[in-house]
Amino acid sequence: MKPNAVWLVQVKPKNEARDRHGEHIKHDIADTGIKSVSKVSYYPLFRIEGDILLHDIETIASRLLCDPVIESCTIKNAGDSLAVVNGKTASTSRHEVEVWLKNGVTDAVASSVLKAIYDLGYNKTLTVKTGQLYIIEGTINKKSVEEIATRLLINPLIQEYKLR
Amino acid sequence: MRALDFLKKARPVSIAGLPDKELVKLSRENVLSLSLEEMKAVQEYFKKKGRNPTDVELETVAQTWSEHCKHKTLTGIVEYQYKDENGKWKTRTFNNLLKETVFRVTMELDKKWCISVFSDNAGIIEFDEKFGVAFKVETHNHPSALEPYGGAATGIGGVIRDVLGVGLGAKPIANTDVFCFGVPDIAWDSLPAGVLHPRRIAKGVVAGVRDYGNRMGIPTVNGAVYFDEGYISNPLVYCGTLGIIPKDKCAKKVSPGDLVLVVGGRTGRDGIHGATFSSIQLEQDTDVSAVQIGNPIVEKKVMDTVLKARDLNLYSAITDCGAGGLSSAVGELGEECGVRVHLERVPLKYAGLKPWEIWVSEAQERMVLSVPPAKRNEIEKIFASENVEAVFIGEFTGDNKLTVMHGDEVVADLDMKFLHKGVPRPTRRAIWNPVQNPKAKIEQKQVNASSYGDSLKKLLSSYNIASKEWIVRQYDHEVQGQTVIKPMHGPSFTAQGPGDAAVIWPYTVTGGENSGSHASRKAGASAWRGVVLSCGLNPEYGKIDPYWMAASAIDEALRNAVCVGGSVERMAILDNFCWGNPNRPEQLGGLVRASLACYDMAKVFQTPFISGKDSLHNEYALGDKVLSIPPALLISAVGIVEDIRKTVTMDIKENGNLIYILGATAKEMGGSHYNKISKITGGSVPKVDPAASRARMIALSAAMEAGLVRSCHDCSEGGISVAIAEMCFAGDKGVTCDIAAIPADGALTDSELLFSESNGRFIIEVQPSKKSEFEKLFKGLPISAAGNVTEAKMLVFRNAGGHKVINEKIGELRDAWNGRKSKHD
Amino acid sequence: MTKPKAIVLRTAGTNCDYETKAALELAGAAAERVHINRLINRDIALSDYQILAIPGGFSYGDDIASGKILANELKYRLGDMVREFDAAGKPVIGICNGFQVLVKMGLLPGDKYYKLNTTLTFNDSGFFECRWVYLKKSNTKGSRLWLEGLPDVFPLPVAHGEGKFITMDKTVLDAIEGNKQVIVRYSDTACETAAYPLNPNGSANNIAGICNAKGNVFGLMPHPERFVYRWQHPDHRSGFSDDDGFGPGLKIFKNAVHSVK
Repeated sequence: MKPNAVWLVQVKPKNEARDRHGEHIKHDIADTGIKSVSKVSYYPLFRIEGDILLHDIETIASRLLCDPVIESCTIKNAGDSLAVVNGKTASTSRHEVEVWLKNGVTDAVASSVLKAIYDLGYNKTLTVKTGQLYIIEGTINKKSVEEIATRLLINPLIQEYKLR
Repeated sequence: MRALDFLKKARPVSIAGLPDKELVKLSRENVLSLSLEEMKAVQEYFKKKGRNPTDVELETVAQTWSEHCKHKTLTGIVEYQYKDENGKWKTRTFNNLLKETVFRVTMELDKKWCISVFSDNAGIIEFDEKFGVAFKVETHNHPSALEPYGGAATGIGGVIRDVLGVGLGAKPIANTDVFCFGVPDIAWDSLPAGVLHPRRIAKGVVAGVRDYGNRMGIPTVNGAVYFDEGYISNPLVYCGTLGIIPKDKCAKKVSPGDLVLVVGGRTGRDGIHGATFSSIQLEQDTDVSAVQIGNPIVEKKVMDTVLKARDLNLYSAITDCGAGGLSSAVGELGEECGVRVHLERVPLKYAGLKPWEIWVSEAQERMVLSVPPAKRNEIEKIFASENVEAVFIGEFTGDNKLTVMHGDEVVADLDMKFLHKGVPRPTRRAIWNPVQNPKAKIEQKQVNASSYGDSLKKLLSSYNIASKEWIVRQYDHEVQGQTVIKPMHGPSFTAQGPGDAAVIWPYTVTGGENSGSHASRKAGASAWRGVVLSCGLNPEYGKIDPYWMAASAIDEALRNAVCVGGSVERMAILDNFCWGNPNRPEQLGGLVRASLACYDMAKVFQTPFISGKDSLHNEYALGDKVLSIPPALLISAVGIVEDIRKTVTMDIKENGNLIYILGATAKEMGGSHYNKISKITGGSVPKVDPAASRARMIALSAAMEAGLVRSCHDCSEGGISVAIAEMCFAGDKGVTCDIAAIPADGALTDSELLFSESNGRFIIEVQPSKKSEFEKLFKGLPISAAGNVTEAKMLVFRNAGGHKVINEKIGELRDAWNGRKSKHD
Repeated sequence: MTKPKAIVLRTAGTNCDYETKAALELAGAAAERVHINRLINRDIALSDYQILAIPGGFSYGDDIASGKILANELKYRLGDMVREFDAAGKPVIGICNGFQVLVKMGLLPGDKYYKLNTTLTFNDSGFFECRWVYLKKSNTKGSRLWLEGLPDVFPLPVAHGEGKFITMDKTVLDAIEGNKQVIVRYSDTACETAAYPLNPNGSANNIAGICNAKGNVFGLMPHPERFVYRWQHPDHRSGFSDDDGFGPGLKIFKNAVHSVK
């Protein structure tokens, strides 16, 4: 049986870089009537599966998925917890929402990523899935987060979400 | 009755002998949107065939006979009852409403420069000896209400494909978009259940059209946004595309033996029942699966390769896969001769689709071509060279049947004649009773004179008039480098004003291989020719009388185009009706009124209709209440500009120039924006005198041709005061005007002269040295030099007594207009 | 005398190829729109051409990041061809998406190892910006090749969502400035520095375009091909066009053509 690994690459903006997409989502959340969100962070996710080692994933991440000037990334074997401390205090909380395309839906960006990986010289058969990680912070409960997820972060026809 | 038990891929649907109630139930449960009469026609057809239909066959009929595809209401029989001026009830029966109004005027005008009207995916008019321009405007309302971003994106994607599929393919060179949304400041608790907030819808729609249009590399150059509480649950999204096409590529012809080629995106479950879904009213729990998903890069690749194949003459016909998916596209192309296709050859996004799903899926970015067998290899190479998927799925036969296979199994076997001509024509009742709206008769209330400056600022900052710069700047309106009159005008890059129309100079296409050669530019007769695009829409008038709403929309679209240099003598128009439920006689009555106005106005303006669409059932059911939209007729205009070097913008140019007002202002405050913001009801809605308006437009065009016009702007929402204010802050200049000098139709009050929205009026800036030459062109027409451009940057209106009833700083007027410019507002 | 051959590189999502080709032809080149597959399949070679133009658009849909996938495709599939072209000192112009490509493959700022130490990211406003701006040219070697004969300040339109020029750190920015590689900056009409919206994206030091140390590779966010005719300017009376009715954008292409004659 061919060795198979599943890697998750999580890209995040370096400290100084602004998170435009997160800011947009924060405004959109206010438009749904939920006022208590203080910050939204957005991290692109790439799930790469196939006969491929960490070393190669690191190369792919640094050459392709992550812009060395403004981004950094974390690479883990999928399944390992990638959640940063899910801290809850009395007045604020932090929720992590992962969004992925439903099984079988064409992932147009993933096709582009695959082509780009082959351009880098890798010719193994790989599967790529793209997703998004949203970190929502504020005085907000799980129910509201789920509402935000269903109403705003996903198109229920083609996407699904899970709370980390 | 033959049993179809042998079918594995298709499911036989038992309709033989079903009573009426069951037929209606079947249609509703399967989202077929077929009326009882239509279900019975289907039942009858299959009874004659001696069998039940398959699900594929039922779906095919449902899609082909859908309102969206067949325009049954507008081409159906309408029994129209109306009250005439003397209060007497009259009846008129239309055998085909569209044919006897909109289509009829085009036939009667018989303009030689109309190349293709109402028969293909778009209308085509002549550009010059070698090229034509195609224009199509579509709506995508229902999906946008559910999923604003996706709905709007696929809306623009769809109309682009329409233009790519007209004739043998036109190259898209401009987009337009017109939106109707609910008012953005509505409180959360006032929203009907299940409806998205207008802010969310507006942002989503703007972003959807932006992302798709920008990626396609087509400039979005013209449009409008209209806010009204009536569109809370049913936003309207109109998307238009202008294309340019060689004249010898305007006709398509399918021959038996030609192969069926599907090009572009793969097929999935997205958008199933989009066409039939658009024919029903939205409810709280409407199934979101009727929304399509778009990928503009695939469409861009398709566009690039199709145009390449077109220029190499590798196919004989093309059409887009839109409403109804393959069932409509293949069905239409094969209408005259017959076709057989194999669904198992269609590339799929994922496994598990049933044959009927493959057949009616509205997955995006697909085109269907008919290819002569001899060109097969060559055309495959073209698509492969740029990584575009292209698969042959069947061939056109001579048997006049639609045969759909999946492997060895026949899953549909229909006669083309039944499919295309077998739809029963419905008879609908329509009623128009002017007393329906008593508001029309109430007298206009007089308003306090000292607050005109504040009223003007309030108008400028009102949602419908305020700056739309936040939208304009998100759309690349410069791509292709051919936009010579842009959405915003003015010499300052940071403080511009609203343009009336856009002008495209298609030099990269019409110059051909020599587009870079200056010599060919000087030599060609049409080297400086361009295309003007504009629009007209005012649902406010429609609340009082749809006849005058339609007439005003036509006048507005035409005068907008004339303002920048278009000529009414070389202009065509398009109609896009968005209405409520045509089964309600009062609703349909309004639509008939609007159609009649279309005929009356177009006839005298001599501007033929070349294309049109309708979107009906724009209603929202909440429990037992039904909220219907204020009816909206969008008129889009397209025309030829002889010389783009003579185009004119609306920003005031020089101090000391004269300001003329052309066209008389009448007591027509009904439906005006002034009334809206002052919360005044009543008054007469603006009418149109098309002969007089046309004469003014022709004279104005002559003045522009002679180089006598420095700037020009038309009067619409907010009347003369708003129009001049906009010209002032766009040019950063001041104007002083005498109200008494404003040409008037009767004795009007100051507020009426300043704010009435009478049609057919223009503000024109002329240099004093050109005064007599200019005035000669307008002999006998209502025009006067009511003002002049001043050194001081103030907008001043003096009344008969010399008192300054408006005395505002230009900068403050600009600020009021820009007030809502924040993208997050 | 034969016209210099220019290649207008295109791929899935390229948009501005037709008008870029027209501009190059107006400037005296024989320009061709060429799909990257033809280079990858070795049907033709980059060395067949004297000028390389990477036009604007949304190559590969801006997937991952604007210009990233095309940048990688050029770097890893056609790297030798591109290196050879640059080594020969031939002019390369990257406009908008093309600039993003040059920066993300390291051809700009272009030290000898093509390091990736600058990028173009999302505009400060958070939105796509389609507007006209003023550009101030600098008097340096690179500007002489590309901007000779242009006025000190000239207008061009921009249209982008990811146009903010950023460097890895201050050292890189100082090096680029020190090497005189910044040849156009956003400015106002008075040649002063610009704030939003005349700097439409928040680029460091108002940087609108840079060249490599040799000066033959030029990347800029504004679109010169969109102002080659007087009539493309929002104000047709504007004094920035010459007596023949051509805009300053054309001069940029003419300079490139002139340099290879």
